[in-house]
Amino acid sequence: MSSKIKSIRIHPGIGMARMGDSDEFFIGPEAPGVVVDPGGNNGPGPKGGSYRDGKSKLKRQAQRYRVYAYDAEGKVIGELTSKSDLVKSLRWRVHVRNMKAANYAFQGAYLFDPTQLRNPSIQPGKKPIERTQLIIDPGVQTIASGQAGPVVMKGDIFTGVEKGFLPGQLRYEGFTPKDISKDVEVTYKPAKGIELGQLRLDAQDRLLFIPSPGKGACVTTPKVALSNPSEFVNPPNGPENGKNPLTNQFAYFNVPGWWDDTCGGEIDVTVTLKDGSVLSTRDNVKKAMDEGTRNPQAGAWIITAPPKFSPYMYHVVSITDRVYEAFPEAYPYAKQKTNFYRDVYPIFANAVNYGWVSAEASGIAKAHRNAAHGPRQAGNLLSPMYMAFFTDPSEKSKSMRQMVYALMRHPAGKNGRLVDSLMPPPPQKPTSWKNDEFKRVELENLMPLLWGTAGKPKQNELLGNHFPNQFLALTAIQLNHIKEWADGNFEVGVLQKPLDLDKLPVKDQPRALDASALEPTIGGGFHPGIEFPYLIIYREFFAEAFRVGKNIEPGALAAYMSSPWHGDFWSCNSAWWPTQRPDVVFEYDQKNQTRTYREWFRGYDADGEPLSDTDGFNQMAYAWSKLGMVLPIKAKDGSFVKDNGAIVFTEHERSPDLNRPPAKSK
Amino acid sequence: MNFTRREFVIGFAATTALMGSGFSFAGTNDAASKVAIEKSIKANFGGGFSLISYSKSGSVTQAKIENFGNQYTVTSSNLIDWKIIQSSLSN
Repeated sequence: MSSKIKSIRIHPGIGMARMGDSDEFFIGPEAPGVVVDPGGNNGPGPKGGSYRDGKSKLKRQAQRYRVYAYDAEGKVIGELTSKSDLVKSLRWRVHVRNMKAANYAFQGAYLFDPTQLRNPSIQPGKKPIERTQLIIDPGVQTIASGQAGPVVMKGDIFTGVEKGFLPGQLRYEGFTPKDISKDVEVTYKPAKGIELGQLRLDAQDRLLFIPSPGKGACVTTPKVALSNPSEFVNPPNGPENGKNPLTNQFAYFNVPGWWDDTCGGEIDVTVTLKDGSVLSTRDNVKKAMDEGTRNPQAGAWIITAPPKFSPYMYHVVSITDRVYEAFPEAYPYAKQKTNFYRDVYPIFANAVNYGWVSAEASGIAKAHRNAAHGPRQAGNLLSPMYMAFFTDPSEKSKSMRQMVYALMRHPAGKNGRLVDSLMPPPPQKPTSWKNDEFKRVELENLMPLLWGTAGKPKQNELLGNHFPNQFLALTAIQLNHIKEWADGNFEVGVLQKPLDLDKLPVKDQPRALDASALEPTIGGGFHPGIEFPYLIIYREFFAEAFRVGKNIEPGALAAYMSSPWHGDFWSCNSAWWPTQRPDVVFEYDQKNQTRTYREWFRGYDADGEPLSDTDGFNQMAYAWSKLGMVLPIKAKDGSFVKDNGAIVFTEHERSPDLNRPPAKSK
Repeated sequence: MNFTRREFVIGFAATTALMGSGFSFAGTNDAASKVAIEKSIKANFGGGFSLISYSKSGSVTQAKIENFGNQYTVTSSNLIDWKIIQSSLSN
């Protein structure tokens, strides 16, 4: 069989690991639609596992990487592990970085300006990759068969930086400038030994990438607090006419002196077979220890991100959808007739699920009352009444289908692709959005009613910005399926139960791994994103679908995310991505089929103050790992409790630490 | 200018408490009590919830609170754990 093997590839091509403050971890999804159990006992997980460890700390979600062998025609032969008859050993090579503090300031995708850097006074005038004092770089790390591990990847930041000046308009802990118009002199203390993640091997020497504990901190004295200065100083866009990304409305994406421990980077493997031959995902590797050069079609990538607090819920547009938008030739159902249960129903189910985590979608907000996706609301698309129409391909139900399609929002522009309005790609300034084809009125009465890549419409109105795509729209592939369905050109199909990876044919496993790693993610609005930034929309940055391009440096894509992530995670508390970070949570009375809600972000902070928008940017850094999971209620027979066709979701496993003021503040 | 958001808002909340919202107070103890109840309500339900009125009977506090135009009647015996006993939500 070894003679048949012409190449190897790692799957998933882009993996996703999610942070947690526990030292325990579980392995993330490896097949589409499968919600993994977090392990342990007496918990609310799919198999009774718990998302928290014995000390109520949130478990990390690891990404497993597998090696598949391909023949000369590019067909899958099988997975290679240390248990395979052919394999002698595997040697994994990983290089991740955190480049956020060194990167360009985030000011919204449409306002990207390559002249504006984060921490602008440190190593000024250099490109992000050259600002080495601001990059956490553990260097290349390896782990090989027989190595116990874990290999902990650590690095330093703000090294060699002693003093600097920061705007007086920032909020400082324990210090208020006398004259906020003058800069404040701060001292820096390097942060050392920051863990970006760990490498381990499973029992068959597949790679496990365990993400960091989700820490973040400020290295300056006085410390800069996470806040949005533009709310207080010259609102709405801060001092200097909003020109300074350290103090304008985007300041909380670019907080100076701060680091976090997220990362991104490349994953490679070299496999030595028992006959002595060597296979590698890197080019020019003749021996197991050779460094070689990156082959982006064969090697993989890792992104680390915040937890997904609603693991059963999926956003209506995922990064997998964005991959197919950028690489439509890779979409597996391109030439197949629209199948309602495969192509349309999941979009409707995802929309209805928002009704348990979003104030707008649940109908509790006055403007959307009785017109939202809650179980008794007009937009509960899973109600038996709607489903009877939706699964009927006849003319009798056509008007209902057409009505639903007419409610769908389309991306601006003649091609219906988000990327077209954001050309050229960073690090160039986008200008295409000014073209006539993208000029339109952004309508609030279309679906999805979630904010888009251009940011909140009200905020844009306040600032005089006339951007396209201020609301999220489905991709052209998704919209085409809904149109085909609306026109009656569809088969109903059946609702498929998700299959675990080992139940899938070997030939289907690589694609399942690629798709499932990115399926439970946010594919817009990208402001800048919560797992992967908006750069996912640019074909130019990728070698092919699910493969990051050859010239992308480790850490360079993730660098476009908020720095640190905590403030953005708080700020996106309304109609952004409630499947990852719920806006509201519900209690449900099964007997009376009634529900009540509370805000998800609630409780006491470290000082005994209520979590709220009073200090939310700063409080999230303390609270994130203690917040609750949103999970289905199970009936006695193990099935999910439903209300009018909609699965009932409630809050679970919230850390008790949030429910009481800390002892010191009592 | 003071940039401590919490101090700013606490000051604002105290002023609101003294002015009342359909609720009158006899003295500083009542005002302090209302601030404590508001703080507990926000910690328990979220910062967007506001206190409309409250009453006390022994150690039990009953309050009417509001968010997005929805109203709950809630009770607590320790000003930490609250139970919803009535809701205006119709789902």
